[in-house]
Amino acid sequence: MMSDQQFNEAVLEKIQTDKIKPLPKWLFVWRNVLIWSLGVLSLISGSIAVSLIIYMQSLDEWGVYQSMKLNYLEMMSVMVPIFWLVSLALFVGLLYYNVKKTERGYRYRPIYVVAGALALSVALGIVCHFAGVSRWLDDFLSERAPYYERVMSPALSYWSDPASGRLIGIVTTELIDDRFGLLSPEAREWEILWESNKDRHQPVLLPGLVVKCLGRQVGEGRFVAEQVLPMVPGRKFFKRGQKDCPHRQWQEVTCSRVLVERLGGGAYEVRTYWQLR
Amino acid sequence: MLDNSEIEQLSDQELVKLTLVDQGCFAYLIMRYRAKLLNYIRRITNVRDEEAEDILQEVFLKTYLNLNSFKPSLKFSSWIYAIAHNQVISNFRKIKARPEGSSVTIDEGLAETLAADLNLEKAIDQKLLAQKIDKALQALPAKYREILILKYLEEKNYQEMSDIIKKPMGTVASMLNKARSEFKKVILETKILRYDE
Repeated sequence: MMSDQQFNEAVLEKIQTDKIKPLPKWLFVWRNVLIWSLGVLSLISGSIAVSLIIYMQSLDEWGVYQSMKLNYLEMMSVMVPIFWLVSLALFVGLLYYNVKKTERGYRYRPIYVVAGALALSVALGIVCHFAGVSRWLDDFLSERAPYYERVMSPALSYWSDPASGRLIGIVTTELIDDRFGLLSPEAREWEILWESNKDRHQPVLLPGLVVKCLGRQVGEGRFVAEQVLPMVPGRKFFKRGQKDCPHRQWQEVTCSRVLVERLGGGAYEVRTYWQLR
Repeated sequence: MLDNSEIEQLSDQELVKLTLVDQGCFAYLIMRYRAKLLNYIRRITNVRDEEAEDILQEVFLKTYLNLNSFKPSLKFSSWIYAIAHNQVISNFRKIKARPEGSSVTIDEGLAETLAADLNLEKAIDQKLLAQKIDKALQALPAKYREILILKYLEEKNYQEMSDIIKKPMGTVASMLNKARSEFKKVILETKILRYDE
């Protein structure tokens, strides 16, 4: 064992021979700034994920899917934006990690940090949604993000299945004699017969609107629609191929509501209220 | 310039400030903490004296290197103990095994405090009690041994323990409870000591 004096000298000598100097203060300041910035970035990203989750549920289509008699699992796979939920979990995890890396982060219990991170993300997400961030971002992603229709908005793929009675597309011609034209995501032209609209609240079908049709395929490029529903999240997906269709205009549904009424005996009445910009 | 007696009167925080200006002042910080940290390292690691000294040297070098990151809102002693705690963990990671070494000497007075708090028999020679407690501590998992050492042998409060092991105070309290019951279990199993009824 060294004496106090020997130990002191050994440490100071090591400092001098190895030319050890205290790390500069700015390095610790920058480290803190980096941790807090990453934390804020994670919070913003989590909030955006929350706002997109809210936006994707904004049409409240549970009733529509119920009327289609989907089982619970099918309904979940179409309605629940798993990608955004996973993103939210990831960003809350990152925020937790950053809080824990701050100088005092270890003083807080993990459960409180996670709950706080989640609550902040949800609160900011609600603000983002009402400020129109979610709508803008969904439009941006649906127009540009790769694999958008499969990853971020699974409902889009689900509705692109005419053989199973689900067709999605952009209206290309006005509704005349219960018929209108539709262009599906694969740039295929369809003629839609919509006889049943007579008894319903009449939506304004103008070229450029993105709609979901529920019915049955009756031939090559022909489809009989029983219901025609507006599509808001993911609608700009149809703008991707616009260059190829010079005749196509662009219409935006600014507000839409789907009302589903249970008629009894397992039947449903679906009414849509659309408002164009 | 301050003379030796004036420097000795300074608080840890003031010494840190002085060290940043004059490297030589670091010697006073080393003198203040050498014995305490050496004991702490030996108690929580159970390594040989030479090895404990090597770890301690690393602790002081890291302390010096990171002096600018010290915030006066934290107690300097907690800060330097936390560096020691981390250095011990990093040493264990390097050798990937808990080394076996000599026994730890426990202050007899502190051993008595621990024994009283845990209702251990008192009718025993103090030196023997300290040895038996040391034996029981060695049989505990590292995390429980450390928390008991911090509480009873280093006499740290909950806030200080939280700052040293970087866990919330609530977690420290539950770890301490668990450590106490594990300690009792070891004593009952090994029959090193008896409990007072």
